[in-house]
Amino acid sequence: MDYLTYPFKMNTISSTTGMDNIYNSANRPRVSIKDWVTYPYPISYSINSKGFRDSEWPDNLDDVVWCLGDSFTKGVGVPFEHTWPSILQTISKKRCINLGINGAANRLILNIAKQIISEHNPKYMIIMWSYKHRRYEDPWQFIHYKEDELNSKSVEEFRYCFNTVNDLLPNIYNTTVPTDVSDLTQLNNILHKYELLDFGRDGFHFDYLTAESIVDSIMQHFNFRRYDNEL
Amino acid sequence: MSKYLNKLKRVLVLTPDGIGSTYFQRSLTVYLNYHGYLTKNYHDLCNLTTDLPTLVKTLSTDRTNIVARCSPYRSTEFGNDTKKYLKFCSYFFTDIYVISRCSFESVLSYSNTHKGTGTLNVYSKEQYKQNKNKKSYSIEKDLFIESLKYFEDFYVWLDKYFPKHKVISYTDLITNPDTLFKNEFNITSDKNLSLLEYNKFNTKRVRNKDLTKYCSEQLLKFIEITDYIQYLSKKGLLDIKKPFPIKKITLREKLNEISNFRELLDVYNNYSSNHFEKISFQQINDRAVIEDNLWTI
Repeated sequence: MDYLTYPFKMNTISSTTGMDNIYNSANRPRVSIKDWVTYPYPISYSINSKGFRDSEWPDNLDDVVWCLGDSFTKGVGVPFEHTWPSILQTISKKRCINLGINGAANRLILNIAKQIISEHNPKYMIIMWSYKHRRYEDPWQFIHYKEDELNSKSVEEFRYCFNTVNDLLPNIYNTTVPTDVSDLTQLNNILHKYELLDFGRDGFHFDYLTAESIVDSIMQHFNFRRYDNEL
Repeated sequence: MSKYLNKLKRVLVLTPDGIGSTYFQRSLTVYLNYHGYLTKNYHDLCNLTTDLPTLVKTLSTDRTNIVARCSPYRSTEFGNDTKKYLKFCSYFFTDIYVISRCSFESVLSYSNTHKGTGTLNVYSKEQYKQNKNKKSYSIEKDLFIESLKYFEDFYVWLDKYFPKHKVISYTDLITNPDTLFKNEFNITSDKNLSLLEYNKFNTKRVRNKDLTKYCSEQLLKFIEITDYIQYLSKKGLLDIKKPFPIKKITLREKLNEISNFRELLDVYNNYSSNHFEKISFQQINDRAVIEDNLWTI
């Protein structure tokens, strides 16, 4: 199984995706159709030949930063330039590989991470873990249980995924999508937190202000040199 | 504000026709592209579609800056959705303009176009020749009054549906478009496009005036602009069939050729309206002199 190739919509460009569409905006508490329509920055979803929202990967992957996660990493509802991997790339000048997948379950993120560790000996890996209530069905399909159906199994699943990959690679930067993590104990690495500061066009995923605060924390963690002044 | 992307410029010009809105759209589209802002000119939005959901979806997912126009007489093509269409335009567009031009001149141009030559804008020497008025002609008084009413209605429509519009001067647009656009849209690039010189050159060219005083460097610049317009057209950003409208009738030509010019001026000055400023024959003459000097015709 090749987890580094997401076999959907490869080499495509679209103006909407998933929950980021004008019809969905009518049903969101934080956004109206008017907000969606008047979002002031250009958004397109340009998918590379690997199936991810990113430019083509470089031939040499030795020094890249691997960015794993779900739609918050992919940057649904925001321009590519506002995604946290893109901002990290802009500020650090390190090539950041965006591996965000819409709706991804943590087990898929674990499998992607394991393949990277096994094949690429990564120097830098960042994981924005997904919701606990997302479970794995098959490699590319996930069950989204209702949040009020959360139980110890969900927490155990999260803990398993988290601890497995952090045992394999000790210096991972770990964070999560905006969700309650107070029940996540016995983790073998730090789970970084951040404040939710803004929302993208879809009124659900965060935009560049939140992404910047996450990137600041990542920059400190890896002690990357900053190139903000060149912006 | 994002450090990573510029906010999209969504520019709408509101027009009754005859106030320079086509020149505004074309020249602004070329100007913004030339200065690095990918910009598409839709011209009248009704040309794109008269189905409101389609229009909303198309415009809101367009990644380019947008320049378009909206007019009361074409808005009704949206049928029952006309009011919704106007409301959408009022909040979707970030910069909504109306061009302030001497109302007498505008109404004169409008009357002349709609019952005179029949063509609002000309884009080539051939079109100019075809649409050139005879040496002397008159404009029917009733038609002129009808046109005054039409313009009055436009201003009422403007205040009703677009109370937050910005006003730019026709004179600024014609005499110094580069500076006008630079200031209005906070353009920091110092690249020189010379829209004014290009416009002057074309105005003379279609009238077979002496062009020998242009040096090769200037002519090359005009060729560069013409090529650039074609390039934008190939990219689907501008309609090549209608690039820049060329000055069709100068004020001096109107003065000399419209046989009942004075009568129309009296009608205009006696028309009761809060929107039309009074103007004397002397003021018109002075303005014609300024315009002649601008075009150096």
